[in-house]
Amino acid sequence: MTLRDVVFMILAAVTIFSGWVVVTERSLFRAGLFLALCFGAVAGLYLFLAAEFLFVVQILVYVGAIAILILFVVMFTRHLGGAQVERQRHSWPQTILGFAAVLAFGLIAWSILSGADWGPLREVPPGLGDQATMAGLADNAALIGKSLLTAYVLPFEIASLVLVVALIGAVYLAKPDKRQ
Amino acid sequence: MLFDRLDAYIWISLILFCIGLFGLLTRRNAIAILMSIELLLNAVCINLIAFSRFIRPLSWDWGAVASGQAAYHDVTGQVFAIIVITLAAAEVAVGLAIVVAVFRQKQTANLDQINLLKW
Repeated sequence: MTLRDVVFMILAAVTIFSGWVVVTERSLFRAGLFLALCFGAVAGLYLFLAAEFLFVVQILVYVGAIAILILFVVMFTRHLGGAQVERQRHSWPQTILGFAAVLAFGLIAWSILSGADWGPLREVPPGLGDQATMAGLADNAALIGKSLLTAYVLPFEIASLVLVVALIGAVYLAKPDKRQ
Repeated sequence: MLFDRLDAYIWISLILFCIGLFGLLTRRNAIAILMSIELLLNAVCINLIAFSRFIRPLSWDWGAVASGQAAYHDVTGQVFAIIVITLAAAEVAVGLAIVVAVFRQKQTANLDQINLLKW
């Protein structure tokens, strides 16, 4: 039980616990804060998966932009006079549907995971690990950069187009009416 | 050694996905539903990057890999995850803009009361 094991288990526990708080917390602001905590813990898990570029991207984009944007909108709608505390009125079909969907998914996934032979994928194959080199490109960010511009250039360009469209759309949708 | 096993990350991703799915189906506030969607997308990203870490490598230089001079992680999963993160950011921005626009009209974000299109 090395320190890495302990840190990994702490990160996994924080991820799942804060995810649970996000979906059950009445106060939206607290849920948003725990969402940011969940994103940070997931970033730590990326670091365990040798994805250091994604660790930074996750913190910059998810924690630094998405969670902050959600918190801003929660505070903004509170300022406009709406309820920031969710008054839930659980109808019983909705609750049953929620639990049934989760249970079904869990059963299916458990059966898949129990039946699959994870032997070849269980450990890191020999020869890999921390000695990742490809014609001089040793680090994660360089490999991703090269992939994005050679093999995966189409998703890259389409993603940039989607970002432009989303930017224009979000600004237009959130614009106040001329009447006000 | 828990962090060296693929199925540990798959279990984490599965549990997080189940939590996000439960939140998506149960919550009545639009912003809370968007937060649950972000949990779903994060679970998927964990899964993608875990597979990218543990999969057998593909090479663009068969000679070097065959002779053992080069070995590298297959970063396909990580590129996929970057695209997913990008699209998640765009979707959250547009979704929250819609919530703000609707909220200006109806002063509520409770989905039970936003039912103008209901028959």
